[in-house]
Parts: sequence; C-alpha cells; structure tokens
Amino acid sequence: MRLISAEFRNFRLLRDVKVCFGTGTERKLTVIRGANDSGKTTFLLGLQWVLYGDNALPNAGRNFRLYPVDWDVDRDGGQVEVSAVLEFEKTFRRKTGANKVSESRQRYRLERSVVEAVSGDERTRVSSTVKLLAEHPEGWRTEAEPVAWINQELPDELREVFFMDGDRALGFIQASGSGATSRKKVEDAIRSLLGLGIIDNALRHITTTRRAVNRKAKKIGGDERLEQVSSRLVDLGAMLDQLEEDKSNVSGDLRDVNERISELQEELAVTLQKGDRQDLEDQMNHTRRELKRVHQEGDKASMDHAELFCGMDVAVGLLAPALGPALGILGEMHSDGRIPSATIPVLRDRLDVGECICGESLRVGDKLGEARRSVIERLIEENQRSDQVGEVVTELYYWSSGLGDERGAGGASWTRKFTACAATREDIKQRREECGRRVRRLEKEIDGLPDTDVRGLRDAIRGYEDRQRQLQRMEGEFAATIELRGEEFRELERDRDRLLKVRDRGKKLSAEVDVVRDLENVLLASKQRMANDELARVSESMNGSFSRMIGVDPEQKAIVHRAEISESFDIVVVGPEGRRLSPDKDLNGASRRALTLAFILALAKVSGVKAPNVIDTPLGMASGYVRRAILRLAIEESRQLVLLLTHDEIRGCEDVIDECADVVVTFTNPAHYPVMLVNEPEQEVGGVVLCTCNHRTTCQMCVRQDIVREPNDD
Amino acid sequence: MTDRIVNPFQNIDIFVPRDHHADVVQYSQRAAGDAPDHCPFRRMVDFWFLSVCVGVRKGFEPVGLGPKPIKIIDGAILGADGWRINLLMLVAIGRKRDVSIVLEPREIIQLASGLAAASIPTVVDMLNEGDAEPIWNLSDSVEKLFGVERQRR
Repeated sequence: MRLISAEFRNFRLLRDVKVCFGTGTERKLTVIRGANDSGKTTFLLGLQWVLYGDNALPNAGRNFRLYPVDWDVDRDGGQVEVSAVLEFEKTFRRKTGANKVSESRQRYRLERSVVEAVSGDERTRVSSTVKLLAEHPEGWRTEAEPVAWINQELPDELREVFFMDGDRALGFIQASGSGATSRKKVEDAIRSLLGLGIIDNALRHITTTRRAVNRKAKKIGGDERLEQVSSRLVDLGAMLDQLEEDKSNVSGDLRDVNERISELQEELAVTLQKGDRQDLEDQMNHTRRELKRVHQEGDKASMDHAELFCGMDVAVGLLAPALGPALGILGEMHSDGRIPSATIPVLRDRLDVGECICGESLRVGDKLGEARRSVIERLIEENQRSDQVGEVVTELYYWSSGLGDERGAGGASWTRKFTACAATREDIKQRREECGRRVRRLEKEIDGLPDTDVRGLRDAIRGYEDRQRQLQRMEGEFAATIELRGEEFRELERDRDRLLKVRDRGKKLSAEVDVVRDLENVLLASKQRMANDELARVSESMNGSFSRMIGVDPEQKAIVHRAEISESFDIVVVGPEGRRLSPDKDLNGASRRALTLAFILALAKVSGVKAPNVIDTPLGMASGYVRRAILRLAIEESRQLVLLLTHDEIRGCEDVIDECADVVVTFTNPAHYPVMLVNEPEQEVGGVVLCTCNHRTTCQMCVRQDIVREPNDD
Repeated sequence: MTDRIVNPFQNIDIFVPRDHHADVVQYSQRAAGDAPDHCPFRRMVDFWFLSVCVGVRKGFEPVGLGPKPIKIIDGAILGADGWRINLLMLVAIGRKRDVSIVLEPREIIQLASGLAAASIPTVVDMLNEGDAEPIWNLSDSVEKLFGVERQRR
C-alpha cells in the first residue's frame, strides 16, 4: 500500500487541508513540518480515523470531539459534517511465466464521514459511514465490505506500528507497574504481524474436534471400563472448556485492568508534570503556618520595640547630662558625712542606754542626767525634718551610685538594645516577605493546575493494582488447574485409546483421534517455530537498527551492547558483561526513542506487510548523531515514510531531507499569531493552513518569531 | 538596684495640658489590638515620662499646664516603676540645687508636668519626623539625641 493523498474537512484543527504524499521509490520521504499545536498529531489521528473509524480515537471515540473547537454554531450552524478522504494505491504482482512477474497498480479512494450535532456544550454523533472506491477506466467503482478489506490489508492491531506517535510508542518499552502492559503490547504486535492468531484459532478448532470425538467414543459404549473412561473424559472436557473460558475471562479482565492502570498512570504523570495539587496544598498550609508564626514573632518584636520607650535605659540615657548637678550635691553630702544620717538613731540609742558617749549620766531620776536628757530630746526634735530629707537623699545616693556606667555612656545601653531589636525586626520583615512571596507563588501554581484529584488517582491506581494482583493470582490458579486436569485428561485419553484399540469397532474412532492429535502436534510445533524463529528475526533486526542509530561500539566501553526481545516478549537491553538494563530507566531519552523506532521498523520489515510508515515527532529528545542516524535508518527501512516534524527536529538534518524527501510541506496554526507567528493571518476562520514551504524556506504565512530571531538557522 | 517601698506621689494626680491630650491619647495603646508601630507607648504615663526626659535633655523650661488640664492618671502608677520616682527627685534636686525638695512631692510633679507640657510637641514631632511608622521615627530621633546617626529603612 502506498499513500497518495489525504484530505480532511472539519476534523478538529484540520478544517480544510489536503496533503499529497511523495510516491517516489527513490525519494520515499514526505515531511510535514509544523510547530507544536499545528495539527501534526491531529493529522496522524485523522489518517487512522479514516482507516479504522472511532476505534482509532482515544477512548474509542467516547466523549471525543471531532469538530473544530472554535466552531461557531451561530455562524456555521449546529450540524458539522466531518469528513476525510484517503487515496492510496496497491501493487499486485502476478507470475506470468518462468522467472516473469507482471506488476499492476490499483488506485483506491477511502471516504469516511460523520455528522456531529452541536448545541452548547452538548454534542451527539452517530457512527461514521465509510466507502471504498476502486479506480477503473470507466470511473470509480464501489468496493464491497470496506472494513474487512482494510482489516485484511492493514489489521487494526498494527495501527500503532504503521501510524506511530513518537511519544505513545514509548509504551512498547516503558514498564508500567509490573511491566505487563508493555509486554502485552509487544506480544500483541508480534502476534498480529506473524499471524500467530490464525494458528491459535486452528488450535482452538482442533480442541473442539477432540471433544466431539470423545463424545462419539462415549456413545459407542461397550465394556464398562471404556464407558467409565469415556464418561470421565466428557466431564473433564466440559470442565476444561469451562476452566479455559473462566481463565480467558480473567485474562480479559486482567488486560482491562492493566490498560486502566496504564491510563491512570499516564494521567497521573501528566498531572504531576504540571504539579501535585496535594503537595502544593500541603506546602501552602505549611507556609501559611510559618507566616502566622512570623506574624506572631513580628507582634512580639514590635511590642519589645515599644517597651524600649517605657524603660529605664531611655530615661537615664536622656537625663544623664542633667543628673550631674544633683548627683554632685549627693556626693558632697556623703563626703561631708551628712549622709548617711545617723545622728538621731545614735542619740536615741544613748537615751535608751542612759549614758552619753562622753560617759556622763543620762539616767532618769538623776537630776543632771534628766537635764541632759531634755537637751538631747530637744535636739532630736529639731533634727527631725532634716533627717527625713537625709533618709530620702541617702536612699537616692545609694540608688544613683548603681547607675554607674549607664549614665556615663549616654544612652549606649538603649542604643545597643534598639540595634538588636531593629535587626530582629528586619529579619522578621524579610521572612514575612519571603513567606508572602511563597504563598503568592503557590496560589498561582495551584490556580494553574487542572482540577485533577491526584490523591484520588493514586487511590484508584492502588485499587486497580490490588485487583490486578487478585486477577494474576486467579489466572495462575486457573492455569495450574487446567494443567493438572489436562494431564489427567491426556492420561485418560491414552487409557481410552488403549481400550478402543482392543475393540474392533473402536478402531475407526481411534484413527480419528490419532489424526486430531497429529494435527494438533503439527500446529503446536509450527506455532512454536514461528514464535521462536520469527521472534529471533525481529529481535535481530531491531538490534541491528538500534545499534546503528545510537552508534553502539562495545569496544569503546559503550554502556549498551545490544537490544533483544525475550521469549516472554520483553524488550531488553544488554550492557557490559551481559548485564540486563531497563530500557525505561537506564536509557536516555534519545536511546529510548531509537529503541522504539528500531522495534517498529523491525516488526514491519519481518512481517512483510507492505505499508507506509507514518511517524509523529520521531526525533524528539534526540540530537546530533543519533537524530541523523534515526532519520537515515527510518528512511532506509521504510517503503514509504511520512514524518511529522517540528522545526527543532529538522534542525541539523536538513541535508538528509534535501537528499531523501520527495515532498515537504508546512502546517501553520493561525491562532499562534502574534506570539509565535510574525504576520497576521489573512483567513478569518480558524484551523490549520498548509503551505508548500519546505524545511529551508518560509513565507508570509508561516514565518515564525523564533525563525526571525535566528537568521542563521538556514 | 532596689525599688522604692514608699511612693511619695501616691495621691498626686498627673495632668497634661488640654491642648496636648489628644496627642498623648493618639500615641498610647488604648486597647490590646493597637499596633505598637503606630502607638509606641504602652500607657499615657509612658508618653508623659518620656516627654519629661526629652524636656530635660533639650534644656526646656517648665511651662504652665494652661486652663483645664486633663488628668491622665494618678501618681500611684509611679510606684510600679520606682526608678521613675528616684529620677524625678534627682531632676528636681538638680534644678532647685536643694535636697529638701525631696520632701515636696507636689512641687516635683508640678516641675515634671511643666517640663512634659513644654516638650510634648517636640515628642510629637519626633514621632512624625520621617517617612516610616511613628515607632521608627521616634527611634531615629532618640538615637539622634544620643548622637548616633545611622542609615536605616
């Protein structure tokens, strides 16, 4: 099959776009250049939709809009006709004689359309209609059974192989959870390509035949032992059928669960890439608590600051120069012995003792003594007032002597405390501002998050993983029981055969059983050989391409020595000394991309299916040598190659495209003006526009700001 | 430094001129929620006492309280901070050059209130000079009085 052209109307971003593919056998590359959000992935999806219908859409098309997002119901109406037309040709070869082959080409046209009814946020869509037309000299003629026709040429299972989204295809090597999903994808792809499904169907048919033969044997009847064995075989056969069906159901459930886990993990990864809401909210709560603490510290620091104007330090500091005279007077009184004042207490003490300090009598009853007492009592009365002053002044004197250095330093103590207080307040102010900035940043981040419940997603994944473990256990139990009962079944069959052979009338039946068993053995052996041999060929081809893409050279201490596909359908990478590396953990992004492409190209090559490869952003994450090597290998290994590339992916590969491309066109999304596009688009209605600019040129319509800023880009 | 046991100003009321009362109220914290940055004085007596100190520092002469002065509190409050009583007495001794003033508490309070009345407008200026909140303006002004100059805020 070779693609000729694809045309889309009202398919999401593609309102009216027609692309003609390169059909040369030498220059077999078509490049569609486009920045992010310019319709490349939509184009890839559109090609799959026209071939496979809604099954090719995410979630099988459920809740998936097809019409352009900017569809104006008032202007354009509430009924949107979405359509796609794919033209392609198929080459037929017919042997016309010894060593002679005649070749003829047949051109086909596949048309798919659907009407979506739009009303507000609601939309409804019925199943699309598809029509396959073949070109004949007299015109286009409708072909019957277009779906079956397409499935025959390009089975749905191979969709992701021939229409590859560079990012999604990484699923072939990226393990999710137990790794079962990537393994299953690889297995399904290989089984489809190698036609192992057909053999499986034949084996199932043989099993049914065996059961029928057993029932016949039972009907023949005869001796009692044969009767018993035959009955048991029928029962066991029914039991095995039931067990197989149960196991198949469990396997189906397990596949669904694996898919669901994979989808949820992808959703979680996308969400977490944008930010974990729960984590951000925890950070926000933590920051708000910290901010509250800082506010409290700020309030206390501000009160401490105010306290500085109520304390003794500021008062003594301010009064220091003026206290000099008062303190001088007190000091002089102290020097003169006027303070501390002890006169009255001494006189009172002498009166109590009854003897003066000079030794004269002060006793009552003694005439001279009483005269002296009255003189002393008058003296006490006269000094009473000055003594009260003395008492206060004494107290003041001793208190002020404690002021000492503080008075002399003139506010040094207050200044020291204020400096410390100011530093504390400045520190608090900065912390408060920092917290405030953090709160605003977190608010902005939280506001920008999609309204996805990360915790809910994680809980859901855990729930599915529990179910996954339960189903895996059940699947294992069924397999073990089937094995056990199968062994019993085979033993009984041998028993039954022996008994049948003894009886003449059982001979014919015995021959039937032999034929069935031989057929089964042949099919099993064929299946085994195909699986082993073909798997080895895919593995070898993949390794060859991968090694060339990343430039493997084990002699030069390369980390990667080879890549292979294991018997259990795991894609594995082998490092030095045969160490097994995990493709999704031990390889860099470019090598992962190269390995995925190498696998896809190897599958296509070994299968012999002659179909084009359409690949979206295959060179993302790769640069330099690896980017060019991937591009060259992809061109070499493909019959027809359509690459959807960003400007960045093209950079550094221009000469390869010069050499190999038949067609290069550019997709431009007018909605990118003015941020990314230089010129205002002429068209009023949105949707991607196509121009014939190649990887080295730009026009009024597609010239971009970043290209203008990088004039040496070419 | 021991505190005083006896407060000689126990029964003496403290007044401020009627014209300045509003300023004293404005810059004193009247309620628990008042922000210290805008009301740097915990109580009105703190404003009054700092005004006394500023007045002394700047060498102001006491002025009369004018007609109908307003009582802000009674002198019992001074008993809570005995050092204020001692400093008021030392100021009075220095002014009068006579230690016997210590037995005249009313005269001391009158002197202090006169000094406060003279310097309240200056303290209000100190609170407002600058482009920051009153507490920072006052801090800068006090530092200047102490002879400290610094670049801040």
